[in-house]
Amino acid sequence: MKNTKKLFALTVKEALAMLNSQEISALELTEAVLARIKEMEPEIQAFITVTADIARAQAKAVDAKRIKGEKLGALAGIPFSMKDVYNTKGVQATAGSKVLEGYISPYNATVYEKLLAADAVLVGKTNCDPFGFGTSTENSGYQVTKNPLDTSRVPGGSSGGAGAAVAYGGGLFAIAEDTGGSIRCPAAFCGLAGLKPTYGRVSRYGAIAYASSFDTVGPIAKTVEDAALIMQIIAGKDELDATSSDFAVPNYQESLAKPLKGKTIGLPKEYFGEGLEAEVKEVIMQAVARFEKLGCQVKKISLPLTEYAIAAYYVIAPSEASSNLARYSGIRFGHQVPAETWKDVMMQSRGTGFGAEEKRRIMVGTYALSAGYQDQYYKKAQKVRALLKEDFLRALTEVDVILSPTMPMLPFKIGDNTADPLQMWLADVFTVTLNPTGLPGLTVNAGFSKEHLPVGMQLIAPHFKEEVLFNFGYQYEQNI
Amino acid sequence: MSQPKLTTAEIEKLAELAKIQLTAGEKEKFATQLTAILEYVATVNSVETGAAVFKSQVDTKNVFKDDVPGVSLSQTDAVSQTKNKNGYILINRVINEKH
Repeated sequence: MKNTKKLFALTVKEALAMLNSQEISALELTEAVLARIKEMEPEIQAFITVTADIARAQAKAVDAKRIKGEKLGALAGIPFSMKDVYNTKGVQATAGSKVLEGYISPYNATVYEKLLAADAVLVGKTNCDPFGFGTSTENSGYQVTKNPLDTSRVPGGSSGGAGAAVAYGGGLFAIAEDTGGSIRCPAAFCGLAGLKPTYGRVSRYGAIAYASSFDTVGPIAKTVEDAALIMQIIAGKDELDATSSDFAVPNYQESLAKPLKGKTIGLPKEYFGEGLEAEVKEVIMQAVARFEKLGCQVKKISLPLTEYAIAAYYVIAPSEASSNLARYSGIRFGHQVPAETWKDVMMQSRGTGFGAEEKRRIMVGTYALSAGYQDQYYKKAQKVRALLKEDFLRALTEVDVILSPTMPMLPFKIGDNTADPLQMWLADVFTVTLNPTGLPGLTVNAGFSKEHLPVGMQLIAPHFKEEVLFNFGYQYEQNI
Repeated sequence: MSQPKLTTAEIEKLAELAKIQLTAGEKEKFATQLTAILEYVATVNSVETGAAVFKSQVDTKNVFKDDVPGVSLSQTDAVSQTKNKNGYILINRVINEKH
């Protein structure tokens, strides 16, 4: 059957079929995406840098290889974007912060190398909260990205540019980064699929660090099937990232079609209580009912430490960030203020280069790690983290997956939550809980509110069981 | 636990440790915001943690690799993002500073 969708609206799977049958060329597809970016960017502002020249050169190279009959990579000719926290040689990487304005990456991140080897086509670098510090992309030092589904609303964060770009067709998928919900939140707010993989499943080499023990690299895509295709390329051991795992990468496509009959879904009671918007709950409960129709059993479970997980996260993550961001000294790269002494250079470069959110998190982390407070904050939070992980692992022995809303609210209006930074942090209550535990989480669009705003549901599985998440997510998408 | 509001001196101390120059307005704003944040995150202290020890996210053991030199950045690339001369980074004089 001929596909009548506009080229930029294709899924990766659909586009690959058309490219492989030579119905379209990689350059045609890339031009369609670049034209779409040109049309949408003045309003949406998802990109910090559009790499049109690189994209055209890569697309032409794919077409030339195809004509010559050379072996092509698994994503040959597929246009995609990368969050601006990744190093791609010769292209600016700002991490969404003014402190890195003008920084040109001298090397490639491993995830980019892998996608290049798969013959994918880079169309640009997307906007985000600085270093991943945010839930709405409103903290970006560059621009406020709008949600393409409703331009009065935020696209989520921190990878809001990535979510918005995929939602409007500025690339068929995006590589984003999740330290405390930064893939899952924008994917949910933009009606997409997004995977936070198990810690260590994808190499972090060349990703600008936020909190190194939480940072994960993953895809945002239109469908779960696309996310699985991308994970197949980017997952695996990398000598350049000692925390990347040599645990075998399964064939994700093979897991998709497995029937769910007899599987068990756990609903943590703590995730369905106070603070959850009624419409979000309604859509999620309809999704649960659909899983029951597919033969799943639903079991109520408890994750008693949920209440403290977010506090533990906001001790440990800023602590790691305060250490990671010490490198922005105004000396080796990025924003530099000329001054008389090295210390003045550093104080002033950081004072003017970092925005309010970077300063807040660095100072919270500095406080939590400082002499006299370390036991009370950092060490205590690490103990809570150990118990939180035990909580999840215990629950996951009783059920195949845990299901929850991804976000407690619908995508909110731009400017609505910027006055109180702590309230904005608390919006991450269902997503940040996974990062301290290392567990994988997949967000899938569960449905829409009455105003047609998307509601994401989060599925959680044991470590390195991404294939279970893809199975559940795919079956849901096929049966709605 | 109620957190007393951070004083200007405490914020200045933190900013000094973090090597961030703050404006007067920022000091006031952050004193209020950080007080609220610290009060919230201190709730971790109400969890009975006993002898819990966090080891790692995915229980990785020691990770080794062969000690073989690989490709690394060239000197030119390594200094390309800042003021440089003859392959070296140019910085302010450190010795003979006033303090």
